Amino acid sequence: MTADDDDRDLREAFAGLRREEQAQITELHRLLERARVGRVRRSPRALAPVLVSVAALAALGLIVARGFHLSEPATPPGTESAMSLSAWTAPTAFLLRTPGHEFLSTLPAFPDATPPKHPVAPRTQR
Amino acid sequence: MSSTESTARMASTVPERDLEALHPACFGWAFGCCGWNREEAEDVLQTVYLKVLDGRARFDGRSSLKTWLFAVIRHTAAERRRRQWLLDLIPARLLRFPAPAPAPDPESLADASEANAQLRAALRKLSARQRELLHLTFYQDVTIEEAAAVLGISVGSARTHYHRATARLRRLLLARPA
Repeated sequence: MTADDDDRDLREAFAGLRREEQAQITELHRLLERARVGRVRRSPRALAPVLVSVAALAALGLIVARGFHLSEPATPPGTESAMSLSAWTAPTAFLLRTPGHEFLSTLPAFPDATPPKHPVAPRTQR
Repeated sequence: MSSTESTARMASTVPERDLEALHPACFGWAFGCCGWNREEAEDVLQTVYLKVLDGRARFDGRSSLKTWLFAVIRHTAAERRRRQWLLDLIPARLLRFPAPAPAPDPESLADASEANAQLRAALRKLSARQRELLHLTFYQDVTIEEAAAVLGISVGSARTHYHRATARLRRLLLARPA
């Protein structure tokens, strides 16, 4: 068997395949009609990359927005430094504490001077 | 773009009569490029016709219309295959989409004859380039030079692929149990 004979065999095999497939083709006008109205059939999985991309972008946007929000100062600029200055105390401030200094900033507490609530018997005249 | 505009644009580039004459060959080629998956082949052909209608694919006359259309179909099928490969990386259960139907098994095709089923099975074992080259030369009856133009390879390379592919296909067909 020569190479040509082999090729003829292959050619015949492909001709059988062609006959079978050509009997089942979708007509041109049907495909063209779909193409003209732009109705390309799309399976749900064909939309998957779009959905995944949108979801990924949304997640990324949320992460970025959240990070931006966290890094934002909670108070107006300058307020924080002013507050820390007012709360600052010198490390040697305890040396200034003298005995009884609490009386300078607090009111002393005295025992209750109000009279007792129990009734007093009226004094009788003799 | 309206339907009439699309039709007029297509008529100015590729006459519908020519497209109709080539449609059976284009369908067979798309069918082969898509691993004999009919739905994919139809989608690829639709996309190709849309490309022609929209002017995204223009026939410049440097080759025959058949060669040009075959190259566009091959390119579109490859694009689709790459997209499918990316989709396969995403587990279908995460997206709650049904998994794509597997390619039909040659033996399970009710209307396929035994010989055609064996030929398809043998062709599946070849490399894509060898399969495409054999399809073009034997199924489409184009010359090796035209096949090389469709595949975007040199004629010398096409000849080498041709000889290796025919030898391998012959071996595969002979190895099949009778």
